[in-house]
Amino acid sequence: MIGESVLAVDDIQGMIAPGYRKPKQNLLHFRIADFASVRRWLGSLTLTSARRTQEQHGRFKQLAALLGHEPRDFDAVFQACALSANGLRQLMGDKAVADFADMPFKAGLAERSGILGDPATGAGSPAQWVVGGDNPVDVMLVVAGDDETRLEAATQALLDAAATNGLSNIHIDRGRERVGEEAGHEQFGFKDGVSRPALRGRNSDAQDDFFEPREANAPDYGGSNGLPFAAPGRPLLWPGQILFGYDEQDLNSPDRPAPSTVHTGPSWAKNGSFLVFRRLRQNVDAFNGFLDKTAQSLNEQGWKPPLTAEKVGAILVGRWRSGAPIMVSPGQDGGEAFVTNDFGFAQARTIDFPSGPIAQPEDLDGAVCPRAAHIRKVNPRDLTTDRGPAVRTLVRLPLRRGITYDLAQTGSPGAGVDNDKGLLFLAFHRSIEFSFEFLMTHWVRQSDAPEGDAGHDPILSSGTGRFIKLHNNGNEFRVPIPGGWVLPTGGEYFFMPGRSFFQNLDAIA
Amino acid sequence: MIILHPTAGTHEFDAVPKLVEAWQEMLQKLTDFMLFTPPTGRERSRAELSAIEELKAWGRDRRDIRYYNPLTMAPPAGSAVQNVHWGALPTSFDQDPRFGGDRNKIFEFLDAPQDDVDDNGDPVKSRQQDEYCEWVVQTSGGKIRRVIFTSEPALFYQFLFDPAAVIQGIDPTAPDPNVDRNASRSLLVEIYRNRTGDATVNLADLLDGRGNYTSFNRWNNDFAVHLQQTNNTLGAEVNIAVRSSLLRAKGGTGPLKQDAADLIDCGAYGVAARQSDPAIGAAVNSFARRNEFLTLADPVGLYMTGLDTTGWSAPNGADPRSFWTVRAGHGDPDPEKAMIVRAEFAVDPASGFTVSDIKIGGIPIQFGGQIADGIGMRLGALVGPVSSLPAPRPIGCVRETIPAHLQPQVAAAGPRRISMPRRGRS
Repeated sequence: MIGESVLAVDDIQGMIAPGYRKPKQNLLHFRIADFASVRRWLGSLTLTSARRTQEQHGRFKQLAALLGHEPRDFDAVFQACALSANGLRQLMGDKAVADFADMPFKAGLAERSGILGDPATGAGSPAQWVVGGDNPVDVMLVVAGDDETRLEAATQALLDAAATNGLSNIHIDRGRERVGEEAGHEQFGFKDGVSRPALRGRNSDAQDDFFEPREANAPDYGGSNGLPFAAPGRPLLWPGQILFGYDEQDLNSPDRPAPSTVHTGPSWAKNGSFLVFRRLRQNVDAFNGFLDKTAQSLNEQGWKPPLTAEKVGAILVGRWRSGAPIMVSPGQDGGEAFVTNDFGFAQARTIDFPSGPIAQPEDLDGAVCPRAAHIRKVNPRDLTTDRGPAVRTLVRLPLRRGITYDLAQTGSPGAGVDNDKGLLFLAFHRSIEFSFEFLMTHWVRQSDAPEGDAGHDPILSSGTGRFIKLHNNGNEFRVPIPGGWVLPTGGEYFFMPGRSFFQNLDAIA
Repeated sequence: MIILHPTAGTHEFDAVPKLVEAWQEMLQKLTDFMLFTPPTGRERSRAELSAIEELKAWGRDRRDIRYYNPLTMAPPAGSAVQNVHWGALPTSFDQDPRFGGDRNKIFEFLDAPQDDVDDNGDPVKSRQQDEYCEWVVQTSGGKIRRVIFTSEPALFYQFLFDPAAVIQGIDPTAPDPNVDRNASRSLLVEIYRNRTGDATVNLADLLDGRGNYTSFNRWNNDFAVHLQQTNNTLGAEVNIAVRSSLLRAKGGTGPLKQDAADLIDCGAYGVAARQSDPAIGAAVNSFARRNEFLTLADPVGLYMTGLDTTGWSAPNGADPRSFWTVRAGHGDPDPEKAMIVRAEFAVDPASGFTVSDIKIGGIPIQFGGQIADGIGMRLGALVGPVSSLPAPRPIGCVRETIPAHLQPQVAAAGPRRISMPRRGRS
């Protein structure tokens, strides 16, 4: 048994891990006007550590248990800070960025958006982004909390202080979890954030003081390369998969880490992580219209039993709107009781639910969950892929921290676009190239990857000639994907350093 | 009747009488060699046994294999091609500590031939690109002018040099195919001239000091005429397909192994660190687990499926896709059908810029590997419907001790003396 590192939980920013899990997150985007002032001011910021975030999560749980419901005015407000390559250059000089091996970070998201499949001109192109692209961002501050009043007060205080300390605010994104029955669902209506890998590592020298607690019923799919889990559906990642300076995920073994020399960065990057931010506008009407038309078209072509638009959505996403995966609930939406991430595609398994065991079939052909269904594309789980054994998928997984936004909900000043709602995609990785960009350029955008004869990711892929192959009663259906329901309207690649970085800027530079 | 055509279905072999027939004969021998292996010659480990021999060592027999030779068994009705896909850019070096995860260093390494040895044990410089796709970068004035990609097997060329020697190297009892050797060697030179665009190539250029054809000749080194990396062979492809079709279970009983890493470790076929070998093995094994008969789809080969240039930009608004040209085999918009074995990415010098001026996601092309990252690969298997025959029985792993109750009553499982070409090399 190889020991897991002690994580610097007082230095790691809590947004990276364990993640804020807050229903309200404001992303404040700035350009550096006076780098000397900014350097001084950033060092004075109170950024929330991983330990503090953990403690507040514990307190939240305790209160929820006492109250019998989640506290509505929980007072914790979390803060984080990240820098784009351009921001880092201004604060620390060109070498600071050059010392990273990751080419996408150095180039910046706007330069890379073309290979992600973004339009080169017109709507969706970097020239038209509300933040990033032609409106470059150097510094992003994140403020998160439960209580709107406290959150906005903290936000205003930060904006005021930033303005007097050399930062020019260029845009604010107000991420808000949807409310009521839609809480936790993205704008198309699907439960999001069900898939959450767990970070290996410990809080202290105590052997079992794990950063992410391990549940006794976590499955181990066995075999020399069986995938270990912290809890059902939560695969364990070595911390260096996300953070600089730690043992990394080995390509061929989930149990043995790769040395932390892999994927070099400067020594001061330890405890930091790359943050991919994408502001994705969602056209809900266009997506729902596509589901209606596709259901009608497939029914006319002989799909049995007849499809509803809701079922088509579940087939394309791989989950029902409730979040229940179609691999465990193939016929109809099993509802919240069947929301799980504990399933696969390659091996038949029995999965225990409170209502009883469910037999999850082997689905190598994609007869139940199409090979190009969104969740199968971006996380093929136990499948062998075009990159080899299933264990290699682990090196592609990020920690996602996204949140929905809706200008109609927040009343925020927008980009002059009606009905501007969507997802503030936020994900952490130690290598943008091997993780986020790989997923987008290879698995989302190619019709023959991670599995052949599949089609394109129907949610995220864009461009002409897109399609998805579906199967019903032995017949194959090739469904064109016009796309256009997810439009990039902003974003940047950031580095979120450890907290001590900001205090030591003079020494590091 | 020709059932197994030359790689990519090219018609170059048509120029020499009996050559196409001899190629088919060679593929049949190669398949039978992997399936049966004539039992004479040198001592072998269990990993080197043929598929049927390994089955017998576990008390099984030929009823327990679902791979078949299409020349001795007609494909079951309803058989269809199912492809296995992987990427042309190797991932074997992604976590190699020599490169610290710096992709540019990996690209630089991949572009440069490295020290190796040939089949005679002589030192050579060899390409290290290990995903059945190799490339050379041609520069001028420090700028990349052309990058040539190949997935043509060396066997294709070795065969042209001496068809009879290749066939009889696999099966010493095979009759001479009576191909005019001078004619096939002339064709070999002709194809080299075609691939290199240089009419000065002659046969002597292609031979080693012993007068044998060598993959490490200067023209192949400089123009990537065909694959030369040790494991990038057609023999390896057939071997992996045959060996991975055996069902595996710990101790020969119990739950069947399904995971690609488990299977390649258990069956000891191919190279586990690659993308291709485990992916091919897992796919083939999944067909056999479902009791589906399979063979490699004709024409047998390892094919590039195309180049994705999404997000690439070239000077003067040129379309980067226009610089990709298929030189052998054929391209197809559908990656399930494309059959490319030679292609190049090149900019006409008259255009005023070079490949190095083309950017991928804002980053100029400095290495062939950046282009290879956009190239897909495939191998086709011809897979039948679920058989009505009883399901095949599993065997254990090659490194396992065979339980006494599974060992055959008469034949010993121990090594025997046989003569055989090296598996893994064509």
